[in-house]
Amino acid sequence: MRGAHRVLLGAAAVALVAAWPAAAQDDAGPEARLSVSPLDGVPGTEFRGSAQFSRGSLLPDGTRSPIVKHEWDWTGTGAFVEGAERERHVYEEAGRYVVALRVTDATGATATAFRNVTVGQPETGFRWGVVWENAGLFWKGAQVTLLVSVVAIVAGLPLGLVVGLARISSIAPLRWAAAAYIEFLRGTPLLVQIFFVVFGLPEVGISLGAFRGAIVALVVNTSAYQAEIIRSGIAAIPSGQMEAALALGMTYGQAMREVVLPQALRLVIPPLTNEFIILIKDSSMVSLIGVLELMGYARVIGTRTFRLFEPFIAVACIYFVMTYSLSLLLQWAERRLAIPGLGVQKVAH
Amino acid sequence: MALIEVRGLRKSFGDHEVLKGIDLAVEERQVVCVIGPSGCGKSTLLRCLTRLVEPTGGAVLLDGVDVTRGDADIRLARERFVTVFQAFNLFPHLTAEDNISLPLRRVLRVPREEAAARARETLARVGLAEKAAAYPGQLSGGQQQRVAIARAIAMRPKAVLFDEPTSALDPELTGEVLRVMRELARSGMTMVVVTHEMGFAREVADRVVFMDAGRVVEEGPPAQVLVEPREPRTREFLRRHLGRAAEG
Repeated sequence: MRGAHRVLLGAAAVALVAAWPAAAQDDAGPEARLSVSPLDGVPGTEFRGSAQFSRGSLLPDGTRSPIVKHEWDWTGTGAFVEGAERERHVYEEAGRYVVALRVTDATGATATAFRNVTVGQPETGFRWGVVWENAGLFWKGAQVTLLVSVVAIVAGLPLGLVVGLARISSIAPLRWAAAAYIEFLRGTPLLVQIFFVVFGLPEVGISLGAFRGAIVALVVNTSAYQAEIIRSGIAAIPSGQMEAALALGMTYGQAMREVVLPQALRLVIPPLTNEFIILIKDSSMVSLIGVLELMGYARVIGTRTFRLFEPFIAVACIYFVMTYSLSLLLQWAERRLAIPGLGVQKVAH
Repeated sequence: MALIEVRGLRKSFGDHEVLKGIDLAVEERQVVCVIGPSGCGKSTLLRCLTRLVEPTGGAVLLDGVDVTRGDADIRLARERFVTVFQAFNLFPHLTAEDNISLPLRRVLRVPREEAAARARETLARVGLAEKAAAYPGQLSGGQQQRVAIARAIAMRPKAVLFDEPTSALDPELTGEVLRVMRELARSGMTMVVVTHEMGFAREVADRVVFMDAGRVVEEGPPAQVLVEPREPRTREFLRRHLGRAAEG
C-alpha cells in the first residue's frame, strides 16, 4: 500500500508542475488553449481537438469575457473554418501538420494556439501489390538464378568426381593436391572465393567479369564438397566389389566405371541433393557483386518501393519452389535408379 | 610343367607372418582342395596366386609366367585364372546375365550379342537359365554363388580358384553349389578350392593340401590326407572338424 501512496503523490507532483505555467499566468488578454488527442496517428485516425480551457479577455469586473467563436485550421494553411469547442478531423495523407485554433471572445479580441500532429505510414497491412507489379523482374531474376545454379551443378559434378577420385588415388602427389584443394575450398567462405575470382584475379590478368567469375567460383567451390560426398559413397561400397572386378581381369578404371561408381553415385543421391539445394541458395551471394539475380532484384525492388518484407517473402517462395522441385526430381531419380532387391526400407520389419 | 606353381611364397601383414614359405604345384585338369583351421593362411594363399594380395616373398608362376615379377601383366593372368569368392561379390546393380556378360565385353572384348548368348548359355549350365533377368538382390545365396561361378567359367579360364565358396551358405543351399562344382571338375577344369567341405574334397579332389599356421603340413590324395593322415596335426584337425560335423 505504501507503493500506491507514492504513485499518487508522484502523480500529484507531476500534475502540479505541468499545470504551474498555466496557473501562474495572469494574462489580461484572451487565451486560446488547444489540446489534440492523439498527437500521432495514421491516415484514417480520428484526431480530436478541444478548445475547452480557452478563455476570453479579463473584464473590469474581474471576470473573463466568454468565447463566442472557435475557428479551426487543421492543415496549417491559414484557412480557418468556424467550428465548435470540440472538433474532429481525419487526415488522408501522411505528414506533419500544425493544428491551429483561433478563439474570439465577446469583446472581439482573438487568440491563437497551435499543436503539432504527426500522421505516419499505415502501420498494418501488407502491400502485396508490390510483388505483382514487379513480377517481371522476379521472373528475370529467377531465370538468372536458375542459369547460375544449373551451370554450377552440371559443371561441379564431373569436376567433383575427378577430385574425389584423385583424393583416393594411389599416386601420393595427386592425393595431396586433391586434399589441399578440398580443405581450402571448404574452409574459406564462398563469398571470399567469389570476391577473389571476380575482383582478385583481374590483378594478375585473369578478367572473367562478374557473371562468369561468379559461376567459376561456384563451380570450384561446389566441386570440393561434391568430391567428398562422392568419396564417401565409394568408401561405402564393399571392397569385395572392386576385388571381384579385378579378379576377373578388369582394370582399376573399368572397375570404377562399371562396378563401383554406378553403385556409389546411386548411394549418394541424398547428400548430393543437399549440396545442389545449398548451391541454389548460395547463388544469391552473387548479388553482392552486382549480378542481378533473384536476390539482387528483391533488394532493388525493396529499396525502390520502401517495402522490403513483401519482396523478400516472394523471393523466399520462389527459392522454395526451385529447391523443392529439385528435391522431388532427385527423389524420383533415386526411385528410378534403385537396385532391385537392395535397400533397408524394402525389408519388412 | 604345372599350370600353377608356387615357390616359397611368403606373406606378412606388418609383423604378422601369415604365409611362411609355401610350395605348391597344380597340374592341368587337376582339382586341388586346400583345407586347414581358420587363420592358417589358406585364403591368403589363394589371393596371392593372382596378387589380389601382394606376396612379400617367393614366386607364383601361372602357366609358366612368373606373375610376381614387377613387370608382369597380372591383369592378363587374372583373365585366365579367375576367382570365386565366399561372399559371391556379384554386381548388385546388374542382372545375372549382365553380371556375366560385363567382363566378357570389357575384358575379353566379346561383342555384345555374343557375350549375351554366352552368358545365357553359362547360366543354363549352372541351372539358372530362367534367372537371367533377375538381380542379385532377388536371388538366394546358392543362386548367387552359382551365378558367380557362371561368371567365372564364362571367361573360359585356364583355372578357377574358389575361396570357401560354400562357407556363407546354409547347408540346404550348399548342395546346389557343390553340384555345379562337381560337374565343373568332371568337365576337366583345373580348380583350386579352399574349403571346409570334406565330403566334396573326398569325392572330387585329386589332391588335398592341409595347411596350418602358414605352412603346408601334409598333402596327397584324399584317401591319404582325409582318411589315413600321416601327420599328427592333420589327424588332430580332422578329428576336431569331423567330430563337430558329426555332432552338427
